[in-house]
Amino acid sequence: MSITSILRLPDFKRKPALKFISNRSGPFDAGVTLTNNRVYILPTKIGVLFGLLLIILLLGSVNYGKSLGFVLVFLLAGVGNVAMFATWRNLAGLRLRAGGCSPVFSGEEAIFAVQLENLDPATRYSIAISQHGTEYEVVDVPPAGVGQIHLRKKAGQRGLISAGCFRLYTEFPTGLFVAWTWIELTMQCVVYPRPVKNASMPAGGTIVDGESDLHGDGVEEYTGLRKYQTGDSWRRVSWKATARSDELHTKEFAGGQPEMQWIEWKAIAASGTEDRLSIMTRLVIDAEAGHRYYGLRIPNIEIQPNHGSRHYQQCLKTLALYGHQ
Amino acid sequence: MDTSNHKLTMRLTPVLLGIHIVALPLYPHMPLLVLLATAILTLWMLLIVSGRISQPGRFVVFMLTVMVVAVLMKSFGTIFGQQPGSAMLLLLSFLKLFEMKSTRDIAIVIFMGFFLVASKFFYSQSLLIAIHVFIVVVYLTSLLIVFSDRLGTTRFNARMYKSLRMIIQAVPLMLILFVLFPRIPGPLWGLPKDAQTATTGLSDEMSPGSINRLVGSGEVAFRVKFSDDPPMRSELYWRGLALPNYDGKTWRIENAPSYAQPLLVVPDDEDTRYTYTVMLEPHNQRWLYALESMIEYEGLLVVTREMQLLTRNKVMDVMSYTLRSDTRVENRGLFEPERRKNLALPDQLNSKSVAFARKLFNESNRDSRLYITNVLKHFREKSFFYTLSPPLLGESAMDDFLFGTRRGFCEHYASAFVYLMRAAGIPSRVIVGYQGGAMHPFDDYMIVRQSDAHAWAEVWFVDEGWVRVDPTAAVSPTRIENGIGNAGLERDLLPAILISDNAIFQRARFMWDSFHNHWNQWVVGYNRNRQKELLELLGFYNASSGDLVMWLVVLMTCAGSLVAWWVVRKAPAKQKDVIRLYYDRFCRTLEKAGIVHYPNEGASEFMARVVKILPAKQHELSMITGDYERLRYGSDNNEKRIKRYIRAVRRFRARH
Repeated sequence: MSITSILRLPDFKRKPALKFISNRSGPFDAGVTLTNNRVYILPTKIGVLFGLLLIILLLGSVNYGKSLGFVLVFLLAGVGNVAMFATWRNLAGLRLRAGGCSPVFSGEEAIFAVQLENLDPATRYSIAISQHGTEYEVVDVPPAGVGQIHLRKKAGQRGLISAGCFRLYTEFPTGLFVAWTWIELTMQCVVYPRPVKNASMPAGGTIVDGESDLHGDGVEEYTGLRKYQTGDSWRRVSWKATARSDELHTKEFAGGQPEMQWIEWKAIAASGTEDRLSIMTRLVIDAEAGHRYYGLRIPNIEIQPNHGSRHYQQCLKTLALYGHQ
Repeated sequence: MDTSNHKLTMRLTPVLLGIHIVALPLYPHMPLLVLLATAILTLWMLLIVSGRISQPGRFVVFMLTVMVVAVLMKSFGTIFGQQPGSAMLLLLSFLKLFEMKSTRDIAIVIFMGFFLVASKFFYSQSLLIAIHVFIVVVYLTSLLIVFSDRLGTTRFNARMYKSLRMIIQAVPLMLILFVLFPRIPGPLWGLPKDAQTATTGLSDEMSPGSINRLVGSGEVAFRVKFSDDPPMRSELYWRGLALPNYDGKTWRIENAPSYAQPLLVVPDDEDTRYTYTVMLEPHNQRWLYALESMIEYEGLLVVTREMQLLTRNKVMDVMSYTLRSDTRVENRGLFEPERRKNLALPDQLNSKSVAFARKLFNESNRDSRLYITNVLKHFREKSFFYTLSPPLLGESAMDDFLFGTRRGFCEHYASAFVYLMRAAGIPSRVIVGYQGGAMHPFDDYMIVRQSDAHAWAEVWFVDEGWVRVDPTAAVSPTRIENGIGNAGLERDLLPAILISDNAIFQRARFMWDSFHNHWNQWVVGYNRNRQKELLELLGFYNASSGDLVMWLVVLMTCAGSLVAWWVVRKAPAKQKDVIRLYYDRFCRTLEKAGIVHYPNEGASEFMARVVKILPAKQHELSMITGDYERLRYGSDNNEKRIKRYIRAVRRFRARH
């Protein structure tokens, strides 16, 4: 593995001599099959040691004239040769597809999933993924099946981060050789702004608006159950009722007006854009946690008040991408 | 101990087993103390692996290393050399397990195992050892699989299968390399002094009892393949050594052998000429055996003036060499110092014998030939016995034998005969070697066993040179004509192979011998000359090392490509195709009922739509769809599910 670290990512992208590699490694939108010209192979440290062992055994066999020594050396050399092809084969032909990546807050770790599709009737064992010399995961890919391998990346700035070029490699089945590929898939992860620790709603932020076109459900008094609908808060799911049947049920409440607020760019008392976004992010989180109806107003964009995870994510994504488009 | 290290330790049991599999044939050669140390270290390691005690620290491992060295010093007196080396390698592999930190350490133990297995070739290169090597390579390769399998999900059987498969795929390359790799003769550096301690067969001296102790052994001394018909049994004298020096008890070889060439007179006609290849079993001596009298030999061999065939190094492995002999060759040369040496009788203890010799020589009119006839007649007529259990002789060994016991084996007769010759002033010497040999009952070679060991005499005539005289033939003619097994000797002292009446046992023995012979000829004894022979058989004459390398490259490229194809070829993804095929069939069934599967529609979406149209079929539909999705995208596929899925699709009808 260490021999290949001289070619470690992403340096090769900058080396004109290694352009042939970067041309083959993507980025790919739809996915990519690891064709022959995308899989590279070199002996590992153990493999080099194995070669040394063979040379010593060969010299010994010549010196002492031991025929069986020759048999052993040549058989092992044959095994080494087969191991090279077998290791290469363990990676070549694998299909890679970009998997999903759940949005994260700035400062957290983004996890990119890569789908590995194995068309062979045999398991591909011990496929590992690394980037910048750090290994992230090792998986087996089942025969005629699909596996997933994950790449982790520290999410810094809010906005979008790409997974970038990664190294997929394997030393199976002998550890004498390492076969690897450099691939970049078009994979992006939304990074929400880092929320501030605490933020209170600025005065005038909360509007109780009885005339808004909201559903008639309130929060005061329990009235019964209805089937779960997308967007309902998990806090209002009746787990007891769910356990009795196979479907999710949501508790309904009546009476009282749901609390409603606008989270407004202008209302935030902060100097910089990023600080302001961080505060707004905190407000969105708190509002969602408090089952409130909330809307978002930032320059050029307005999101009508609502609640539920879809709305929540839309708000955060808007904040994340503010100024990027 | 951190968890990953602990996990590693838990996986050491197969490595521990591996060391023992490797070392198994070494154990009989190991001293008790080393075996004891092996047992203790194994138990200790087992306790660690089972989690009962923790891995020893650096200091303990260091102390153990010191103790290992101490054990070796106590057992062998040194840590250098073959046996101590093997023992050290064995014990150090255990210590390496103790301080296991990463998978790389395990690779080192595995590589030590390969060295250990190779160290056994100093003891033996038999077929059994080869089988053992094969098992070891399969097992150690499976260990490499264990440690490249990072998640530990492979199963034992799968690993063994993978390993076996890889090794079978490695065989073509091995064969090409073995046959064509240029064989460089001789050592590149010195040979170890203690490479093999056990010497077998004849030694370089002869005293009463030194040959009859060999007769009880049915072990093979060498095998011979004649290119034509072999000579008669009575002509089969396999010369080993000439022993001209006598001290009253023991006959010894010439201390400083002369490399001056003997003066041979070879008959013009080729009626009695024989070309043959000898496959000599290792005897840890420098001399070789040749049919009397040898006239042509391979390069790298030397002939001394005493007609002894020598090789450069001690024969420690099966060695094959091709010779040409003629049974009617005359050896004419005799220098004055040689003459004196072959007349010397240093002792004054056997005055009766000397007096007897002089008297008989005078009675024979001082004619050497008549004298020899009379001596042999004396052996034949004065109730001398040929026996494997002769009585012990006293200080005056010759007098005791000739006038007392009169019972002896071939070394007694050869010794007494040469003594009587020298006493009469006729130069003569003792020759040791083998006499006879039996053709393999169903293979095309002759087997000469230790029980065929023999001693005879050579007498110098001015007009004929050295002439062979075998006094044993006078006492027991059947020994020479019918072999040792039929010489009327004590049957319980002869090897079973010679006298057994059990046909199946005999046949099995000979079958094994035949197998062994081919193994020796083509594997153990495969050297530069055999390589040349094989290439000539294939039609390549005078192939140089350069040619060999060229052929090696060409063939390896071809075979390499084939193996590469074999290893990487895509096995047809049948499973997946079948699953897709049956889903298509399922869709066609529905299509006939008027429900069309849209190309952009997922299987479960399609199912939801179909269920609305055919609510009665909900159970079957969900089962087929569920199985289909799992088989295509799931990770826990198995035969059972595939069968269930196929059955369900086949039975599925869109209408009742």
